[in-house]
Amino acid sequence: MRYRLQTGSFAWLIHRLTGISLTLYIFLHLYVLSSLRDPAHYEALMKTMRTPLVRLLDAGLLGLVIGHGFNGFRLTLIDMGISTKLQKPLFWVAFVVGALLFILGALPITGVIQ
Amino acid sequence: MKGVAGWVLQRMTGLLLIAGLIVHFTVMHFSGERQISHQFVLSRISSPYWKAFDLAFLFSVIYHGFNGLWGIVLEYVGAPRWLKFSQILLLVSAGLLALTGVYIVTLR
Repeated sequence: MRYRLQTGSFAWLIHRLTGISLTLYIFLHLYVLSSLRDPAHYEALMKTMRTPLVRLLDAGLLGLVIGHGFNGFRLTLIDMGISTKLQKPLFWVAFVVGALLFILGALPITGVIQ
Repeated sequence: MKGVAGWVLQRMTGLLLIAGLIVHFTVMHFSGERQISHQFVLSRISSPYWKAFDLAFLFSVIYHGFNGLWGIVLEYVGAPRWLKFSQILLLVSAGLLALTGVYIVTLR
């Protein structure tokens, strides 16, 4: 199958890829949290969470969440009957607001600002 | 899930997840390191309100994620056998995650 990339199909593809990644991430998330049963194990994992690499991955995760969430909200608006002429502008509004939010969130997550 | 109900539920859990994520991120990630200490997490989780929030959030995300995956499977998988296999795999995974989540939230 081949896809022609335009704004809409690009949004569709990204929605899919971020959605799959986020669903798989639930496994990792719950694995980490199940260590709560053992305080020492939990604190050790949290120590790993503060390493630069994991912080970077964490910022990436925020990116996935924002991308999927904003595009999903846009899709919901369209489903609710907002004019289809607004699809493309809505994409760009979502993109800009999402990007700003991503930068704001990624700064404390990566530890660039405390 | 099939038809209109599945579509509406996917949208509703999606909106719920956006609201939940705002709370989740603010509390867990942007309120300082103390919030993720073992003691703090356990005391937070012992509140029935947080238990309810966490479980609603968890079940929404599991439904939303696995219903989404199922939609993708339906598009790409044709053979009935593989369809059945994917369905069972998704259901078992979702069930395992739900059980793990309940186990974590009811921890004391």
